[in-house]
Amino acid sequence: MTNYLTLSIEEINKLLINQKIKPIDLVNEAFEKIEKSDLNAFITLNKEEAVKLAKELENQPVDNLFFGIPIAIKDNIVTKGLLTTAASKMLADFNPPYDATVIKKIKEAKMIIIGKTNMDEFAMGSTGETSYYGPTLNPYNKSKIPGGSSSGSAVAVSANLVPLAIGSDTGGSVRQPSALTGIVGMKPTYGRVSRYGLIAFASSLDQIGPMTKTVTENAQLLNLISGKDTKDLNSINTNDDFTKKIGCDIKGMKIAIPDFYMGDVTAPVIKEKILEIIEFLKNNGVVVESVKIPFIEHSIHLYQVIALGEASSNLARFDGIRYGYLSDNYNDLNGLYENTRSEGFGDEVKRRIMIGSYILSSENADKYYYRALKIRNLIKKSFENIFNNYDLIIGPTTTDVAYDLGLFQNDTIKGFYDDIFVTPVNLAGLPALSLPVGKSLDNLPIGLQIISKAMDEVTIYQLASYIEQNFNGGK
Amino acid sequence: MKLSEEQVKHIAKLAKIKLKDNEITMYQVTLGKLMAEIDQVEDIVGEGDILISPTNNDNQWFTEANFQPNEALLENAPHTKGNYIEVERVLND
Repeated sequence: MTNYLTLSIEEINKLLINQKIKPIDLVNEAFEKIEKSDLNAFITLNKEEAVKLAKELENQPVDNLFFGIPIAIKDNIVTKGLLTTAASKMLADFNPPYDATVIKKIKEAKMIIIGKTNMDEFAMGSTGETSYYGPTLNPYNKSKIPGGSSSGSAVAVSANLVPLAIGSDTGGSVRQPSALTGIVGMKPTYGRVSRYGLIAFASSLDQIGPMTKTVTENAQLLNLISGKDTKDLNSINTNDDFTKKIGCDIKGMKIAIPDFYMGDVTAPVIKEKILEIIEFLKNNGVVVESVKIPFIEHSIHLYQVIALGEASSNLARFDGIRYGYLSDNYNDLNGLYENTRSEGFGDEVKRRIMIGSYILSSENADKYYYRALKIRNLIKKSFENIFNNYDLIIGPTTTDVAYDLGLFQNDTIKGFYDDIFVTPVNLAGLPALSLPVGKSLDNLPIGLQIISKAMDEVTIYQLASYIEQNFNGGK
Repeated sequence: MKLSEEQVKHIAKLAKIKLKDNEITMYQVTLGKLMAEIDQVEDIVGEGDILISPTNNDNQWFTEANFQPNEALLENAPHTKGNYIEVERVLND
């Protein structure tokens, strides 16, 4: 078997330009690897179309960096004519009539979509275990969770099944699995990437993000997928080049580390690695100071209220009428709705939409939802205050390395606490990246989270690439 | 915190989900745990304006129509008749 997919996309691009390889070589390698792999990273493969496109591309000039490069897409992003299930029985046969905006951009760059990746059902979960299609396994240790909800996208990149993948992050779903599988995952500023065609979980938190092996590739892929889209009214009009500060020195940077991130919930192995990074940064002319971010400790509860409330509203559309699963056991319209939803949704989804419906019902909306939205604003302001004095915030992505599959299955609460360091960023709409910085003694990856003010992904990539290139513990 | 059977049935009804008896028992515990978490929102001391969306974009109308062709949309519907989606009777005779 060939081994081109372990190369950087710039190296692959050169090989394509010099006609040393053809796109079909990359496609064949990807499918060979996927078919040999037992990690359950994919739900649907796009083999026929991928091979067809690769052949067509043979007669075309290599006109951009992404030309002919294989990519994997999380299965909650709609792809015209290619099944999109959101890892749910509810959408097991759903064949989207249109492409998401990110897919349109990917196709315009002549990238080759290899398949749709496994994930927690409707992106609800942080272990990859709530999928209707079974758990995704961690390539570093198959008895461990890969994290979630973008489990398959993380694993596909980590195991070199594809060079690049797309995930989505509502409360850490790009960053957390990236940390646990040792890859680079970015949740961009809310509005950077169009959500058009992303199956909504919590609309005010959802954001699509790139998942890659290296920082440079991550920035390059964000260049491709970001930008204003008239189909997502929350998208922002920008045309930054996210690679522009990659390779620049970090001397004189001011970085804050929230005390909340280094408390008792953080495992010693993670804490030690973060302390090593702090030491490294100080030795490289960076000012690193511990700070307190007011209200951040409440993020988990605010997230529960906002995410579940919005989820219950978004998932009300799954009624068995226009698309998706329909029960064949009903006598009237209400029975149709109730049986369709009971049979079509998995337990985790049911739990979340039940609680969500409850907290939005009558006076509960004031008591829970609007209360949470008020404190959400205070968290956003707390972050803004920090960024008046600091360039970036760093901390761990996760409280610990990957744990055993099945250990906390069906434990909704544990799932939320796994995300304790990643959800504050979604509440405030900020960008944040998880960077692999080393491994535990039992060879499980550790992720460093880097957070910036809104729209400052460029500085995140600057620091991340500096650490990637110069911090030895990561290798 | 454990919810009563009645509370669980009420919550399931709001979400339009039918529960079996053994599921009700399970959800009394798991939903109860979640509610105990969520109840903590009430205890947070602080006041601010509500923040619905983290962007500063103004509220606006879509500037272009974005419809898919009928045939494409009907393709995923479980029951269709001609150019329509077939649904259960809503009104009685």
